[in-house]
Amino acid sequence: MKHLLIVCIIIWNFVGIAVAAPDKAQVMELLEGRHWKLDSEAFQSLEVGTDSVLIEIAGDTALVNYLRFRAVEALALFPTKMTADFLELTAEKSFAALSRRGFEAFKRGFSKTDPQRVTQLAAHLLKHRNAQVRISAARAMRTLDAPRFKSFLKSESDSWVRKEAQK
Amino acid sequence: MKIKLNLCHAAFILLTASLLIGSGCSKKESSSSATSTADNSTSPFTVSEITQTNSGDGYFTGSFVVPSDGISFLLSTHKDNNASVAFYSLSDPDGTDILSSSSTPNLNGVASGSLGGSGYANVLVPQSPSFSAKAGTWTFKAYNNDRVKLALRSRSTPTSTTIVVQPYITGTTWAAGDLTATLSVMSGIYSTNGITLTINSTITISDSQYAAISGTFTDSTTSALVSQGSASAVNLFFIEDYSDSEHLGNAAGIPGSMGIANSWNGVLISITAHKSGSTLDSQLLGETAAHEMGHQLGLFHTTESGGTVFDILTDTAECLNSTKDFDRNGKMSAEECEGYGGENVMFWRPWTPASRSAGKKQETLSSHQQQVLKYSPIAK
Repeated sequence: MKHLLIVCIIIWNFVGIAVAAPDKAQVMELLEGRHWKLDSEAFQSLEVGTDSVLIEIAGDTALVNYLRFRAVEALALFPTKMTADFLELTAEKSFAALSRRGFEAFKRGFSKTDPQRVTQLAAHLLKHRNAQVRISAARAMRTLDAPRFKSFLKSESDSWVRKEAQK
Repeated sequence: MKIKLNLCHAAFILLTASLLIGSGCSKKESSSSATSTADNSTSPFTVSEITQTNSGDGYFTGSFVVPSDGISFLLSTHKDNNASVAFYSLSDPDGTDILSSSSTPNLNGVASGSLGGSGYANVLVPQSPSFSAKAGTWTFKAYNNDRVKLALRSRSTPTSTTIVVQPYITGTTWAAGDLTATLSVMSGIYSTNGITLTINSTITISDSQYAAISGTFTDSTTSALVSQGSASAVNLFFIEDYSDSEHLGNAAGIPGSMGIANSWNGVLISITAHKSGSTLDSQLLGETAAHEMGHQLGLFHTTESGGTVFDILTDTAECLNSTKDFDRNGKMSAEECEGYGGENVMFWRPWTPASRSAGKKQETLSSHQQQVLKYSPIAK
């Protein structure tokens, strides 16, 4: 009887997960459009597990980039540990366009709850070889660590990068 | 109930504009008038600044004459510090104010010149077959501005329409040759719909600051890039990436500027957004280029995302939320709208990757959409 109860609980949990996680196609629908702006309400109205689906989409290298980029941006709405790890890795290891977006989403999702981790990542990305990534990191640093931002402005060799960082 | 004149179009225009109409106070008495003529080998196209008079009530008034062979015009108001600009009224030679909600037809809440824009706003006539550039004296009343300009096309409508396109590519990741297939797709779309595109050689702008730029046309860097556009062509800026948005592409307005080298004289299209793995999706990129060019010349989305807002044309298919939102998610997909505008160049979203893999394309324009393009001031 006890074993039967345990089995029932396990099955119930799996059913619960299956029902809760949104369908990938359902999430993809919210990423569509030739012009796009993050619809926070629509994403947050989806079931538990949306972050996993977004991570799956963002990490799908066979998928067209605009859907991956938007999935990364939407992840900022789901500030879980899994999201933090994924975005941090994306910012550090991806190609420049995705790296910048990974950092931007990480900053939006975790600046308030874990500013130290965001600052560390920003400091690392200030040395990135892509100018847009450096600009994103510098803009974040301006509020997170002003002295380090000033130091960046002194060391950055591209004048247009310095100018953009201060926008 | 279907809403044809809509709020979402306004929202799109307001991506680059915020409405702040109360800036009527002014010092300006009048401005000088100057005329320049763009390439007029087939159809005269002139751009001139219109002298305005301070009417004393916070507005500026002015007038211009559309000749008997006038085809179309774009009237634009400019403010160099990107403050809000708009027209209060624009009356045709019969005295009908086409920006007034009480006129039939009207462009109230549709034209950026009615809604207001940051630094730039305009009114295109005709933006649908319901309007015409009637011969005679048109008068306008504008809110505080630095200048009002008129881009006027005259002479009889050519039987075959040509639009000159000037592509640009930014950054160093992609080369002009990478756009060959894309431009061919775009050219094919317009050709199928009765419009010949003369596509100039792609100009490479390799300065690193323009590789990834803001999607906001008033941004100083974006403005500096777009202002490099040709005054006699529709300018397509294939940028490496956006720095702050996730569009596939965006136009400077519906329509954008024509015939004047300024911040609104072109569209932006992200190349990187159209890449899958190491492959550039030339069909999708070509459709996006065709779509943004449609906006730049005055076409709205046939159906907006929610399926309750549609363009101002009467012959474009409408995909209604009430009957076609089969998955009840409040978003109209091209798949749900197949046969109801999903195939149209100006549908709000592309087909899904699966449908595109199966060969689905967005390449059609309705007769009225074609007419707006054929009558465009920049067309010949």
